[in-house]
Amino acid sequence: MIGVGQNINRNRLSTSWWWISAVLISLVLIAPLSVIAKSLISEPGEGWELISELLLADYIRGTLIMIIGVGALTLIFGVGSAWVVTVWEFPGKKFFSLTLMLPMAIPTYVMAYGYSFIKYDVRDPLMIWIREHWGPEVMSQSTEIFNHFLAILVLSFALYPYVYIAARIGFAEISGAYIENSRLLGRGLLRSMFSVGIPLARPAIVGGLLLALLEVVNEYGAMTYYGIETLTTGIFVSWTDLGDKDSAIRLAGVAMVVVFIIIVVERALRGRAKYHAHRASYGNLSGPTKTAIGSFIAFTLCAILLLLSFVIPLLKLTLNAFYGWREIDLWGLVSGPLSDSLLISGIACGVIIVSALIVTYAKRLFPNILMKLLGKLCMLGYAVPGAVVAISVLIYFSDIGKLIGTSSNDISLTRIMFTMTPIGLIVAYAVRFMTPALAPIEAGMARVSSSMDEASALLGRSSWGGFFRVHLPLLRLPLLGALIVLFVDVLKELPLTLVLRPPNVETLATTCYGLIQKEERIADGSLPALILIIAGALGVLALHGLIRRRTVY
Amino acid sequence: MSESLIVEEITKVFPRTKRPALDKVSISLGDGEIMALVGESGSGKTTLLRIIAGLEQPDSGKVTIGGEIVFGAESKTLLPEERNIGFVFQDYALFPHLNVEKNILYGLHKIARKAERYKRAAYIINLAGLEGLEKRFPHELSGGQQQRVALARALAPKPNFILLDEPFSNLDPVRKETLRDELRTIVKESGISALIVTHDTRDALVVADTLAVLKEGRLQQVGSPERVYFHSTNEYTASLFGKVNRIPCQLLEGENAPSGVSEILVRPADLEITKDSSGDGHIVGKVVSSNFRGDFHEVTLECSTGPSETDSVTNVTIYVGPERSLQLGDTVTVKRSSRSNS
Repeated sequence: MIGVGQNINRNRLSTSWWWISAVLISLVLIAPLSVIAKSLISEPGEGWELISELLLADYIRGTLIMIIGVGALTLIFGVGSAWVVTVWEFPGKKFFSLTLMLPMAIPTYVMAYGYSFIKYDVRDPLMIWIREHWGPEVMSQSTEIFNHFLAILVLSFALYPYVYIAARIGFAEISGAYIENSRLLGRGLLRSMFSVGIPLARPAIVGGLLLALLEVVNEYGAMTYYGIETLTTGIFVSWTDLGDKDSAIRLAGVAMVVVFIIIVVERALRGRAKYHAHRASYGNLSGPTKTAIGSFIAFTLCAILLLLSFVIPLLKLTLNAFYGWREIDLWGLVSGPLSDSLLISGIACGVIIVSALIVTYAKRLFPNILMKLLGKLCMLGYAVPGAVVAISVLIYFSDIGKLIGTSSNDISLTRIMFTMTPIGLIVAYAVRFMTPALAPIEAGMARVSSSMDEASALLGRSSWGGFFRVHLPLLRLPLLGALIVLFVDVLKELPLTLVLRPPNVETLATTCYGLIQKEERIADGSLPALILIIAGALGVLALHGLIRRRTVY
Repeated sequence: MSESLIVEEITKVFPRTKRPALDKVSISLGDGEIMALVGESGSGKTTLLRIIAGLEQPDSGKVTIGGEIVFGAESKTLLPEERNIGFVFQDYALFPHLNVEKNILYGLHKIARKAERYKRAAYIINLAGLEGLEKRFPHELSGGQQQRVALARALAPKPNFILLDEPFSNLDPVRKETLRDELRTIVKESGISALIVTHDTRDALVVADTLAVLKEGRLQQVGSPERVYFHSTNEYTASLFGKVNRIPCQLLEGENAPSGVSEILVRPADLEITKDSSGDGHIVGKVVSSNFRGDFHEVTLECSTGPSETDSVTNVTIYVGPERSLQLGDTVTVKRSSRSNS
């Protein structure tokens, strides 16, 4: 199956190592997801009847409400702020253009904890008042509605940067001439956003929206915090509360169908044409628009968004940690969750980056259909909710364990992977987070012309020499970028870690979730939450610097 | 003739540059007039266009459009969308997501009644010869058609005047001349005045009623094409519009009293060349080489009595009209023909 690559390295013995490893890696990453497909065909268990009759409709409804609500709000926040920052000149423009990305550093569940001071339950004075006037029925309904609104708002604060960044890129790609022309034809900047900006940047905006919506489907912590039932929370309920493995997989299958529909809709919305500027714009889109009122409005809008989505939750968590300083077991945090988190995330990042390098380089050496297909399939996991990845990895490897069949129960494959060591967890991270590593590495490698490989081979270097002497040095910046995104993603991943961590291991994410949500020790849990935010913020800033440096070169 | 645009003493210095991009430039555009702003790249012509459009802010000066001050020391600066001017971008900037008709309707949103909007669009489509292309998208059009759509879109809202930034630079050289004439016809028929920025002096000579020459941010000369071409006020303008011969001469002051040495500039077509050595010309010499350059011959003459009046032999290069063919070894006398004077 070597294929018909046209590379001169093809005939060398050392090169077959690359494609064999790439195929093996891809198999490990792709195979677990087959569990879901299999479960959809097989006969349902008894528990499924119960769930499908009583809960499934609620799960789907909850998921759809959140998708629609968060989708609409992230679009308004993200596109609106991106347009303001792109076209208007106002004091603080540069500051906002950077800081409006920062809410991405706050994991969605941490954002919910940051807003822990607003939450509606039976103890809330407003709810008590409603119960006294309209009865408990109305109260429970309004609690539900209020909490849905809160959850939509909180998730949108955390997720709008996906749309914001995509829209900034989209608007920057539009030739400035289009917007200038729209103004010269008598339409102001606000009207031009609807008539030119959004139509032309639509592919980019919809791409950003897709990422935000996938996060919504993935979300577990914030959803349970506000008591919203979605497919992801449903998977946890049947898995851990009901112990119904079969139904959990079926729910995962339904979640995948939702994800699939989202992706199909995105493709359709993206449209057939990609509108690119055929000539570089005049650099800056913003003309002289310096009216005092306009500047004031632009500044205020950006400031309010930044305040709500970043400053307030950060401040609240800091105050929590500050006032509850005595309760905090600092040493316990550092020696336990913090070091475990760093170690596991570090190993996971290393494994993922190396795998991504092998897959990408093998694809370069053998540019055939098989390799391209494997590369695409490796990216599949990013669209799959963490909870779904977790249970498919768990079930897949226990099935294999059963097949191998060990005499002694103590050292089964399942026990080695999921109880005694975090190997299973790391594999699952790799399944889910291959894309943030593959995408920048592929883009980086694509910029190296193929004549480089040929030159290296003609100078007598093997494929290994080409890899270590040519590609690796040239990939430094993309690798660094991939590493940052990956590390932050792995560090804050909650649902997947909750399912697959070995019993004695806590990460920052699970500690934060456990302390705040399960035990309501808000002060205690605020410190790991703050560490997650700081790590995320540093990641965002570093990435921004990297991107700017690369555009300079 | 009233003025649709008056630009007075516009100065613009970009940050981190020493030389002003524009230095006290003043021009005015009469109603229905087509003016070409000519200059090399970096001369500031596009900057001036963008300042008039409101896309760039000058440091000082005054811009008056249709009698209204849109930029000035003591008045409010109008935004581009408030100036009511048409702009044809170098790459046309046709909205790729809108078809031809929608592109043209884009600027007509101020017309309240839908029927009126479509009537105006239909009129303009007819004027620009775009019938049958209404539903096409920009990428389905040829370069010339795209240009006509861009022009139609700019003319549709009845602007005070239109600005065209290098409108011919993206056109196929073979079709360019036809499209150039077409553009002039459409603009003239619409009755709307136009300011065209171009680096191509031939385009400028053909299309414009008036030329304005810009060099390094300074206005060199304004006048009719004939006047600028044959009566250039300085060497730069003269050489910008085509090859010129520099012919050394003595300046005479009063009663034939020599006052200094200078050069006169003569177009190739204005050189009179005779095959004798009577010495009654500016240059007398032997042809040592003659190369055809398309519009002219580049001829090198070996002169014994050169401009420097030394004993040594001097080579002088002159540019001669294409119709002349000079044999190597001929001795010729070069004179300026009597019909020109500068």
